[in-house]
Amino acid sequence: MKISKIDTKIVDLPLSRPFKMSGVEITVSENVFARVETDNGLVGWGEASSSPAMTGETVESMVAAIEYLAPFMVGRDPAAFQENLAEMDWRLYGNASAKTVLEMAFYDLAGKAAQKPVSELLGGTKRTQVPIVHMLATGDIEIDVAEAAGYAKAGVTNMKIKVGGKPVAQDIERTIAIRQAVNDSVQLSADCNQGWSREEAVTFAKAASASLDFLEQPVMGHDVEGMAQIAAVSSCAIAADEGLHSVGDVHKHHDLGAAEGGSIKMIKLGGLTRAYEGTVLFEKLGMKVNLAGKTAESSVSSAAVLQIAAAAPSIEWGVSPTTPFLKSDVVENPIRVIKGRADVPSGPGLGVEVNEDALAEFVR
Amino acid sequence: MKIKKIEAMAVDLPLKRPIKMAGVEISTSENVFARIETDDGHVGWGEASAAPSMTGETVESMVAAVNFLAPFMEGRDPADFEENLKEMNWRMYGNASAKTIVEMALYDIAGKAQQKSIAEILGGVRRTEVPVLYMLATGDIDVDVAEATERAQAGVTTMKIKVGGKPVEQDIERTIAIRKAVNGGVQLSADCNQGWSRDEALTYVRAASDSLDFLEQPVMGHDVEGMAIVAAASACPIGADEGLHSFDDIRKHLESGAAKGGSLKMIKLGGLTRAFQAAELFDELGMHVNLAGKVAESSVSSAAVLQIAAAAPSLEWGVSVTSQYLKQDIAKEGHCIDVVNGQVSVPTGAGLGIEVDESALAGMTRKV
Repeated sequence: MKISKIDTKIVDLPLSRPFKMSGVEITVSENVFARVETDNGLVGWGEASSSPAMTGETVESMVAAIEYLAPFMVGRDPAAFQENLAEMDWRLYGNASAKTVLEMAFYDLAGKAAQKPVSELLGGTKRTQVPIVHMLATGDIEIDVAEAAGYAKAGVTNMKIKVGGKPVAQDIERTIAIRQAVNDSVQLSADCNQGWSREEAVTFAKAASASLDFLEQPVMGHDVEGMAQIAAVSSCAIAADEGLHSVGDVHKHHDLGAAEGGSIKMIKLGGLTRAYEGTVLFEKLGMKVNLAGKTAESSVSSAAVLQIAAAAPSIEWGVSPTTPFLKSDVVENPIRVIKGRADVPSGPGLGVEVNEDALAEFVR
Repeated sequence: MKIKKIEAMAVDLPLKRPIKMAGVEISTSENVFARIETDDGHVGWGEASAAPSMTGETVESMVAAVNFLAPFMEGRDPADFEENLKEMNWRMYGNASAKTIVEMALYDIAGKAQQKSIAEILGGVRRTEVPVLYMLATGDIDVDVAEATERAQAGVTTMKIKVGGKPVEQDIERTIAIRKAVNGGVQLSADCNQGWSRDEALTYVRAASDSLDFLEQPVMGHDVEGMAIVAAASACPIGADEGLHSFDDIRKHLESGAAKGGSLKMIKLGGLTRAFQAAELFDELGMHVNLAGKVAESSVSSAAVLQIAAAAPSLEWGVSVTSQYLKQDIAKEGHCIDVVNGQVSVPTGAGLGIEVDESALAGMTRKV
């Protein structure tokens, strides 16, 4: 089986409600899809959201990168995962999101050809259902508290508060109130997306960390020393997200006491293989794993997140597929989050069927 | 003074002769320029070549990145270098080449406004003329030997052989022959651009490293351990290039014995400030500095390389000016960077110290 054709599409997927990212309100998610064909007639799909602040990639750069790599990948075996990564890395430095889009389609193809879900190709299915982190992101204390109480009753076990967008004092108040509204069996975390100065983060950690199970990326990703300072005053664990772009970053955070775990995303590490290897390394170092997509990806990319989650040695900090933030999906059998849990698709490959007509509607 | 307008343009600059890069022959250099205007009428220029295998950036991604950053940079003071870098890094991860283009234009403007050369802004002029590496890149032993002999007689003091494109045995033979042809007064290096396996690199250094003053990037940039293994077997120091993307990388190469020096490029480190700071760090760590542009940039980017070279604390492994590989430059007459007998003068005018010929540039601009 050989790769015969690689097509890319820029797709604007409408969000179910507007989202603030790095101070800018967005109403659509700008994603790139790849459709990869093989000489024996199989079709595989890959997808990633553009994430300039996290990976530096725009939809334009992702398309340019995939088109740049395509001629080197045509003719290769999609299932030769390590060799394909080595080829892509040699041809093109960085561009982790673009490489993720391609590798996802290769895994989808390899799974379809082998009649196995991607989790089987990654190292075996360790679980068929995973806990999903529910996002408390309105920034409004009363709405967040009501939502948290309602979801806790419905059986949701993992929730994450978005902080860093308002004055720290308000984030502290909201965090404490939400913890009071849910009982201790809910794993409660807060994600700051590198929004605070070291001082702000220390203020928050001193006042509110006792209400949390973990606090994610309080300061800039490159400020590993700052992360360690906050970890030293925090009574909950600190998690890294934007700071983790490589295996080296994982070791550095671990060695400096900057994080006890973190968020593993394909677009940061450069694909499914690297993300799965990230979960194995976390386990080895005794670090806690959250597996996440980028806001907001369709069921194509969310299926890939779930496949990795199914194969990961452990996932103590839950899974964050981002499809729930989209108004409409592009597959026949979307990923469903029910009472804070999602089933891992069991069909071959990613386990989702792309509806090409639905996708075409959103192509730019 | 505030930034008013940022324009990015994709430009194909024809090369004097085709060059093989990562196994592909190229006849034009795909570059991106930025033209930045301020509210008080100053215009500054920035430029970088696309280097997919080095920085991951294509012309399309560089144009997209400059356009993405533009609205956040408009209204800011161009001379606020650290704050501007911070803003760009917060808005957008990576994209070191695109950020280099923007920062170069901002330095050009700041220099013009203060009537100072960029070298003066960076930390002062330590030298007004710098030695330029002559590239022996034909891959043909007879041609390279003849060129090396002729250039050595003309006074060129530092030369670099491109290796890694042919069987190792041929590279060994060529390296030894070139050293015999030039005298010991020439600083001779070889650059493999991460083209060898560890085994090939070991074969080469065992046979040819005593003919060299240094050997650059024999194995993949991320294979720091492999670099250290090669360094342990080599009679000459090892230089790093593709492996250096940050200050951490520099320390890691030194601490693990992987390199005693290396090539500093703006497009790897993300601009003039970071490249100059890296030169200072090299000096502090006792590492040898080569300052280089990417093949092939016009006199705009080459002037920036020279400004950093003029201000760098030390510069033991020379400067690589790539505008000499272009068939046509885009600087106005009398403003082109000219390499004469292996030396080049640092432009002394304000900012980058060169004037761009906008009509020449427009003729080579393409739509992306």
